[in-house]
Amino acid sequence: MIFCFALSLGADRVTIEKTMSIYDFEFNSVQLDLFSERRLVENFLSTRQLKLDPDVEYTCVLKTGGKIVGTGSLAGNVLKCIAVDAAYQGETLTNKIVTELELEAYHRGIEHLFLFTKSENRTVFQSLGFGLVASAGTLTAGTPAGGNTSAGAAETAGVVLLEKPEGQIDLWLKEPAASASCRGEGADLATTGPAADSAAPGPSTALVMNCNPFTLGHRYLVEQAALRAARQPSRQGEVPGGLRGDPTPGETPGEEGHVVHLFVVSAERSLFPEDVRFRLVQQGTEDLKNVIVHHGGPYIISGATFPSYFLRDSKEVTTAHARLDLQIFGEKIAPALNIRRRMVGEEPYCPVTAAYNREMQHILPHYGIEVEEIPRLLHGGAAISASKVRELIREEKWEEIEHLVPASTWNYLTSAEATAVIERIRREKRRH
Amino acid sequence: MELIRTGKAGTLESSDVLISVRTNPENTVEIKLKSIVEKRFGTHIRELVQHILKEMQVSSAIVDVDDRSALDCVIRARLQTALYRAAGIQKYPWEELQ
Repeated sequence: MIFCFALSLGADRVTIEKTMSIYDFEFNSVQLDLFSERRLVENFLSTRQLKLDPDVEYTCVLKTGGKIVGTGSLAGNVLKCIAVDAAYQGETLTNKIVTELELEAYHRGIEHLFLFTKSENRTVFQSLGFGLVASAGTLTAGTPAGGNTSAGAAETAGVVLLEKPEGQIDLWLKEPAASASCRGEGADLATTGPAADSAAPGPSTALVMNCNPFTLGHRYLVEQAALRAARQPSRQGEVPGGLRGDPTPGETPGEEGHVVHLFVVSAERSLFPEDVRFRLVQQGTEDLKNVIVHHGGPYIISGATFPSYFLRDSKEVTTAHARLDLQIFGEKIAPALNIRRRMVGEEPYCPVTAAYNREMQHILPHYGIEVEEIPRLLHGGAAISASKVRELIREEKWEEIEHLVPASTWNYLTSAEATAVIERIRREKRRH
Repeated sequence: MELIRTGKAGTLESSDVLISVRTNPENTVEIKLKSIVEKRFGTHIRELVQHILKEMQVSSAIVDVDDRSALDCVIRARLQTALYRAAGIQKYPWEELQ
């Protein structure tokens, strides 16, 4: 109401208009299930070359005189689809939208937020309390050898991932690092404590899997990784590679060699719930002593780092997301655990995963990480995959499933606990 | 006062401040200030926040202050509200608050 006051005092026109525009905005939350409301937001976003992602849970619009001049959305812990009418730039509409989304998230009990944006907008959000998780620009900076690495960096320039509060990734990294040094030293697993402060961990191998659900194909890949890792000396220079005699085939991976970090994707966007996927991986790899199973958490193939894995995005967007996810891995996660190799199964079916694997070959070597792609384990001439298992569940071909999954997964699938999940798989036809 | 969760109060509007307080595993007070007037008033704002924390008997907290040049009384109100929210206290002792 300040502008009314100014008006009655006869202040000059320019001031009035300026003041009015500040007080004239109103916020509305959008009813996303109403097609007409949704389309208004979509139309507005399309003028800014953006779209409303199908996974948004909350959308607000900022209006003036009934016209949309800004919008922003929340999908889980990710702020996305934020846009402001170019004519109103300078009115700090972005601040209003981010505040609104942040408080909405707070009311939903979400305190750790992510935001994916073009790097030219980075400073705007940094001034609003967001900190950088990783950006394409750091690829060249983090490359020790320099040399001919600019190609990858130049292409990916333009996308950054920010988080709030700033620096959460460094706190998160302390968790997997702690459990790694416990196991790596062959120490009593019950003692957790400040083991992370001891000497730097020996070189290790990493695997990242969704395991939806855990199959013999996953088991084979983990086994291969564990076997190869076990043949490596645990400390660089301690036992030169190859001097320990010929590795016997079928040698049990012992605690002497490398550790394998197995990250299970945490995002709750798969047909099998996260706790089930995680438990089946743990049970299915129990006997492999040098394998440590971790929750992938918010920084490995999550809705924040790699939304394309869960949404159908264009090829360019998918590639940009894949690179960002891999850069976070190379820049932050790998150094914390001294990961020198990432192993991955060949991807014959899913184009998104195949694209991700391709990017992995390009990007991770820049960080001194060797990438090894392993052919899939075959059964009856076809690669074993979790999607195949889900398909067989839909078709109720149980006798075939039994050949594709380890006993632990089989026991789960045939238990009463799995009934609801199986029912869902039959009902829903989707990628994950 | 003991914090049990994250507490937030305020906005990022001009002349306001968005304050977020949470527990600090290191049991100290850490103030992370971002302000558009940091050069001129940064020291003052930090002192003010420290002072209010002491008044409210908070000795362990991480305080994120995203300031848009708020006045002292606004910073005080926002910080107190955030602290009460973080402590899970819903009844405000108005007469004790300055």
